[in-house]
Amino acid sequence: MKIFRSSKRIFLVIVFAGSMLGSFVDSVIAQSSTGISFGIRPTKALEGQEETFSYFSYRVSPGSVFDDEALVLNDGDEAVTLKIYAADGVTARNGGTDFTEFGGASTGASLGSHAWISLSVNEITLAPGEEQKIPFRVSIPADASAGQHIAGLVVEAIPEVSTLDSPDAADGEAQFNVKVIRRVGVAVVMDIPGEQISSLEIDNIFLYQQEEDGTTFAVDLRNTGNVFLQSSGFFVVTDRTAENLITTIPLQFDTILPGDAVTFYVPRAARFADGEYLLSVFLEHEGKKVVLEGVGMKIKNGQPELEGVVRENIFSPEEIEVFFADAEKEAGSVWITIAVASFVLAFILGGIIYWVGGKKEAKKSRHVLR
Amino acid sequence: MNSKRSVFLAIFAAFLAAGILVTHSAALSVSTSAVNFPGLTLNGYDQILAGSTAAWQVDASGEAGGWHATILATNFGNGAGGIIDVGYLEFRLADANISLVSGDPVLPTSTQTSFVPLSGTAIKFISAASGTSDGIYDFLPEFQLTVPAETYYGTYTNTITIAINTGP
Repeated sequence: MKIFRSSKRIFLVIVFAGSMLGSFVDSVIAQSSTGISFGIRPTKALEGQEETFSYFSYRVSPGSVFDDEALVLNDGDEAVTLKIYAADGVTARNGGTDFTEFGGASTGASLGSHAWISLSVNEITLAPGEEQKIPFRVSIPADASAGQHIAGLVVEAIPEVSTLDSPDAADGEAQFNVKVIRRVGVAVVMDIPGEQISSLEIDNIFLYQQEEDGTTFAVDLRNTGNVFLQSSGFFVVTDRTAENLITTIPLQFDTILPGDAVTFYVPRAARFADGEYLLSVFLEHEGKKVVLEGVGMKIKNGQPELEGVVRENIFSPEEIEVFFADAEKEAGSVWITIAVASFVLAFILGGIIYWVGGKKEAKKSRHVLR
Repeated sequence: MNSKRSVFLAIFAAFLAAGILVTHSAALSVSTSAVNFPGLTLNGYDQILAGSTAAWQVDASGEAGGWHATILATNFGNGAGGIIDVGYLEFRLADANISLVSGDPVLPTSTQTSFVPLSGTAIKFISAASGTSDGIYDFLPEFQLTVPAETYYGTYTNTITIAINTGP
């Protein structure tokens, strides 16, 4: 009987191992079926710097020179030739790190940072499943300013081209041919010691578009510091008297690189009726508050018209604080709900186990008595 | 005792094998499909064309540090001076068009659910927070092109660049 039980366990373990292996094989097949697939990543992570599992991050002094390597992989089922290059870091609309196209330049503090990286190759061909370590050298200029400079290592495949009905369009006709370039980028953050300044400005807020299914606002932000930052806060719409709150939209804005200006789109799943409104944005980053308030918006026949700042000092610092405090309270209440629900569930489960155990015990004692 | 040891060894071997494989598969990558627009007869009015494409795929297996993808585009040109500004090409990704193939059931989220004009500046359209969406996901973006009334006939070409990035 014992032998039977242990062989059953071994069987279960084999099934478990097989299913884990199976899920891996499945994923590879799923990916391969859609064509070429490639990537790039660091080869090692540094202790105490969790981000280095995902991207390169160095704390380095001006004038320092060091070597590292990136791993380039072909996960697809066909050979692939990739262009590999260093690029300046830029912030995408809606935030997050992106990289300039080959030969392009950042307009922020990362301008020219691609030139700090020299690669041993600029093109690589990989067989299906092959991976290759690509050495590169980082040379920090002696006059590099304090703060974070972001570059990237990018691998890029030859473009995929859409199909046309016929090579030439007939008179009076137009046809469209779209090339799709695929890139994978990994950031190289070079953090130069010195004073770190976290500073954010709200340049503008406006109603971007209003359609049947809703409204999209846009918020223009500028990172005027020398470190990348994220921010969160609220988009607030009031009536023209600022007495009545019409809507409050919570905001979570992703990374803006130092020196970059970027637009974030803020959707709202409802239209605004014709009328006059005031738009305000409150943001918080690194414990600092940034506010732009009282931008006038008129809507006539469904068409918005922006008027710039028409009223200042609508909200006192205490009133602004209330928005953030309410959000914190709300987040806290969610955790309290989860904790209470978990306690109740544990209590019920414990009760069931106790009840089942008691029943078994009673059955056993009846059996012994007999 | 021996059978217990073999069970332990089998479990250890299973975890080891799974661990090695998952580590090996940790390459953030993206697969796309061609984007097609139907040809049209110019009639002197603005006309809107819906683009078609098959599902795209992100493989973020083993990528626990978060990731995001961006898109940018160029103007359409017909090679004879005719230009359709890139701003007439719009893009969106509905959250309902993101699905799990395998891995973490916490799906990445769309950061551009309503149509927005593309430009030479990239826009982030899908992202995964650190510690989530470690898996393979399909997503189906939507494209819409407004062909302005004053467009000349011809074959127009443009380039779309899709990037998937890890970084701060």
